[in-house]
Amino acid sequence: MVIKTKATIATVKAVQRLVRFLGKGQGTALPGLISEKLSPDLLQYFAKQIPNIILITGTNGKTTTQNALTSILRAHGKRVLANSSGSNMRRGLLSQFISKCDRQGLLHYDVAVLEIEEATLPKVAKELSPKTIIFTNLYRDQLDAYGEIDRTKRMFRQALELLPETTVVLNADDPRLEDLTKGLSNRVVSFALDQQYILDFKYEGEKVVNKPDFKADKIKINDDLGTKFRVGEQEYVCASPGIFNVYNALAAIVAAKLIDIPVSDIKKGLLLMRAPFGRGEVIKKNGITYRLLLAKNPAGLNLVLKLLKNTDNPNLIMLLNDKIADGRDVSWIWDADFELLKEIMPDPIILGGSRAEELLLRLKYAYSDMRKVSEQLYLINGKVRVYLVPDISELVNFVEREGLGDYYYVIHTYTAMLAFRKKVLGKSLEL
Amino acid sequence: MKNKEKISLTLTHLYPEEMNIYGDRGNIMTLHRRSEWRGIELNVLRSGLGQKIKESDLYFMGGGQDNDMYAVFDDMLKNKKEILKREVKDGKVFLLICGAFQLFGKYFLDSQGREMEGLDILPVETQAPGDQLKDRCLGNLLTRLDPDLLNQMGAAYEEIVSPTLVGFENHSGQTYAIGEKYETLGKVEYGKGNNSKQKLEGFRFFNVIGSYSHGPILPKNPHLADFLIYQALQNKYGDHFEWVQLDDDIEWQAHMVMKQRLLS
Repeated sequence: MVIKTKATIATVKAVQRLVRFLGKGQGTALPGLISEKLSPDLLQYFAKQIPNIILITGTNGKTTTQNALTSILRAHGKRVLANSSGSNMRRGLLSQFISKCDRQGLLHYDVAVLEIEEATLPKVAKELSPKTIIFTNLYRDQLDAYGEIDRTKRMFRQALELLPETTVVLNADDPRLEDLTKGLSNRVVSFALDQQYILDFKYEGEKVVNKPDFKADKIKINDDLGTKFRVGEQEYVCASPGIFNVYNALAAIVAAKLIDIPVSDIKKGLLLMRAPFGRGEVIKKNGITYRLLLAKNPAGLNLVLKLLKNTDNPNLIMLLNDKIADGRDVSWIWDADFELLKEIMPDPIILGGSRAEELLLRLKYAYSDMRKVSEQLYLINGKVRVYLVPDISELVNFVEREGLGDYYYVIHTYTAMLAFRKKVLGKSLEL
Repeated sequence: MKNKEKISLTLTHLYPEEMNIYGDRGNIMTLHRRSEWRGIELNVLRSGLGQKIKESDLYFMGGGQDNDMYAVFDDMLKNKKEILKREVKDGKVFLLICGAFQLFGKYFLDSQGREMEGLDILPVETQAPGDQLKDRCLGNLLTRLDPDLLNQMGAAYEEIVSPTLVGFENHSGQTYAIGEKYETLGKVEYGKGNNSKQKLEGFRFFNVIGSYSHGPILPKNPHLADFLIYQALQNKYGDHFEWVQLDDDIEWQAHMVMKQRLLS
């Protein structure tokens, strides 16, 4: 068994090098596939080497929560293994373990903080045997991938039924999660925001009034879009913008407290955390600054739009792609409150991505008055400029050439962000 | 001189809370704006669980989550079935998408894939997919409009840029008409439609349109949106209403981008 495992690891490491050498991307799926075939027990073999595994799942906030928790644990001096969001399914996880282990197949980490795609959770739960699972929220996302959201909840429960010893950290403001462990024996530690803040979060289902174990209040967004908040007696500052990131930071704080990380290190970790790619990240090129804000479902987009209410006539770029990683069904933009733009008053608005024309149409119905001036330029209420530049690479050229502004908020889906980032920074995203 | 009466329509949005996935709310927005742009007042009434229905000119109902469908179906039987049946027979205009389309039929599919008795207002039935067909009908959908329907639409919409409908489907149920004679929205040119055998999308019965197109269906298909409003106006005002054509460059642009992509 051990010999076979080592042979598999050596083979897969070679394949990973080969795939990278050939420039075929990050090479996460193929090596994972090979190792699944050669050694079906490999995932468990790796998981057993890590003393503490913490999983993060849910619709929104997985990556930011992972970033926050990883930053906190590293501030405390822990050796942390974190997967990338592109590797949050079984094969991707395997590839990450293989690329991080040494030639003997050994991993040298104290903690693994792994974000797990929702439907993957029951498939890896038993093998990973996590000490803790964080459930961020359960919104409608990628309905085309799994059919319905109730199915996602059933999958979460299936996973927990296999893991009676696992501590569940969950968002008690989300009615769909609130009763997640009903009838199960798991220990539950809940977190929530003070009532006044949760109206902006369109959770689904009847709100159940309960007392969360940890509650954040006195939330204040600073001018740099960093966010200050209070939990009990302590004040924290988190570098990621927006009230929704308080949830992510709070989930990380709770998970850190469960393993007795001192408050000073938690604060340090949150301050030091870098905004993950495309989640409030700032990139600069040729004198233009872009603040990247990922939005991949109505709930996420509404929060980003609410965040922009803190700005003054911003320059806005919106990018909508419909590849598999974005969700092929873009219907959701009709569920999002584009009407908020009327309060934000962005000008100009530049639209791009494979479904840019759909965004333009959505704006027409939100504002009610839109006129076509040319193939590229449309006017809202006779004055707000909307530019249509579907090709993302051309869009970046357009922005640099036209000099319409030097600071842009960029709202984007996942693959649109990858394309945008690559064009601006001139290199592909290293995950 | 006779005072010009303000032209108005009422639309009942059935189960806006429960049946509201996949952006179907965009259909209401579209009907609302396109009425408003013509100076027509569209009053939207909402009728959810436990609420009665007032007679309306238009009805809309979208798709929903499986567990919501039970509650909705129960409520329809108790509170709404009789009036809805009467309204359909009276020629009121209905747009039923996906789950709603199924519920109005003789049988529909529940979340466990069981065939359940439906409202039996539309002569259609929805079956579970067979063994060879485990996957959902899922993806973009392009339909070539039935010539008869296209002809009828011509009264409401002068320049139909493309005789097609674009949308996005996501369903496992396989819907068939009961009986030999039936009318659909048209032939599927890309995607599945009602079922994965016949290459047909949607169904027409009196002035009811049932469809599997999300997207949502109306914003990118302005000819269909106008057809619904026009029919409702005809029902209410005969030929005594003003009807203007709108500038739909932006609508057709979004339509054509998808059409060309799907046909290439």
